[in-house]
Amino acid sequence: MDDKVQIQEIIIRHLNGEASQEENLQLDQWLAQSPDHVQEFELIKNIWEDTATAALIPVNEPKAWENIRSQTIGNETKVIKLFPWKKTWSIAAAVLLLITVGYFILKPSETAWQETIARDGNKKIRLGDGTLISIRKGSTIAIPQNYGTAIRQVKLTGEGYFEVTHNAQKPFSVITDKSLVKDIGTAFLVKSSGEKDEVTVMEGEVSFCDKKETLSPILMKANESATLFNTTLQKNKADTGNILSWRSGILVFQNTALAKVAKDIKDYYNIPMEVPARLATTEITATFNNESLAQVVKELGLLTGLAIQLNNNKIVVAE
Amino acid sequence: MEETLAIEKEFKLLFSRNYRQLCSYAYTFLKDIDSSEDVVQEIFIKIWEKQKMAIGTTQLKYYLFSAVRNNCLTRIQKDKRNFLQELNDEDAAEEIKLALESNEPISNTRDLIAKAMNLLPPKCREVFLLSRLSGQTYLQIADSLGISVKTVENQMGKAIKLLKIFAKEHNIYSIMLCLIYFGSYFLENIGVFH
Repeated sequence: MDDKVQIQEIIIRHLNGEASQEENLQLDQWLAQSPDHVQEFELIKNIWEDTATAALIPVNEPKAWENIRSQTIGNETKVIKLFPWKKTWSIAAAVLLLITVGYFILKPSETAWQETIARDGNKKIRLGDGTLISIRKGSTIAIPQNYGTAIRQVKLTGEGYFEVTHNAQKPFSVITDKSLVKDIGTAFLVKSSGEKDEVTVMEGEVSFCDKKETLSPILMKANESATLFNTTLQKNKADTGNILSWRSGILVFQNTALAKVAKDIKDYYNIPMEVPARLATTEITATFNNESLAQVVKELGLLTGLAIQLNNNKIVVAE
Repeated sequence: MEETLAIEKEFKLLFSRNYRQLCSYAYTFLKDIDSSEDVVQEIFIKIWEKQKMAIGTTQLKYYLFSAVRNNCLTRIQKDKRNFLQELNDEDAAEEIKLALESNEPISNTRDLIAKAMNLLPPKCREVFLLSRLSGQTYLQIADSLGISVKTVENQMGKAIKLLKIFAKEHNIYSIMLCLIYFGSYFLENIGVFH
């Protein structure tokens, strides 16, 4: 009797994928003993399989998803996306147009700036001339109402990537609190944080100087980077590795030291990662494509064999 | 132009892989399809609002089942509905038999099994259904129900034992075998078995 109970427990564990190797062996031997045993096993297996589907109730999945989507992803889409061909945005665009037109009528002598804040996620804005601006979550871009008529100038707070449609007659420029970045047909990144502005060029050429143009501008080519700090304008070695990760969602590490990995992860997820000094040079090679932080933390742990954990909004690394 | 974010894909996947199972689990408490769907949808919306970081992790699936259970119990308390009547385990097999005899004939194996599961002793049924719907390990079930692994194992064994008795008494799976041997003769008569 006890044996019977025991073998039944093993069968269920086996079906649940929890039997040990030893138990599976024991089960095989038991099955080989008699055809009755096989029949008994088959009966339990049938019950096991049918109970999973028999317990399912009929639900309206498409309707449920639509309901959930509209209150989650759909709800945020209104804020993130700024494309008129999305229905919700047609309305938003119409409202913005009304506001802008209204503003223009009331104050015709001043330039009206249309401000876009990437409140809940990155935002992409396609301007009339084909120029594509991507701004990072938390950043703001202001575009003059008369953009493209005489000059092409935008105001940036935070971080933005610019893919500019070239027009020699109307040069494109970005102004921040501190600096002025003029494009000469190009793709470039501007990162304007509290104390410094950083510009990295992906394609083409830009000129970079302080806002009041007191310093002589630096001319930069592809894969070059420069910073403006206080009154010093200086070229650096470009770190093109993961600087556009916020836009692509892809983080690439190739024999990258853990300290640098921590820096890029902090920059991307906005969660600090504390690396003990003795582990700072541990090298990592990995690519993360739009992965959740939890997943990245897990994979880093597996790659390095270190104890890496997400704790109280920071990543802790230990041996 | 705007690519769907990976997190949105993960979220959709989490939904499509678990929605029906979660509703079915909720149904074991609430006995009402609409309320069950409501409870599960609320949980998905909460996850998006508050647990976005966890989307894509394996633990989240187990959290989902726990959350369904907790929210169902809260809802029941609110509704002041008495949903479970403790049954003596020894009576369970008898109970299954009696209940089926008094009801209209059911011809379909899955319906029969569903009926039998509903008649398992409450604690046993709760453990067994959570296991079958969520695919969790004994340890995970033990954790989410706050019972020991040994209790989970005992209840699983008890459920299978009772379902086996039931299956034998009602010749559920022997019908399939008979079909192979006697061919179409039985096809017309399956409806008689109950």
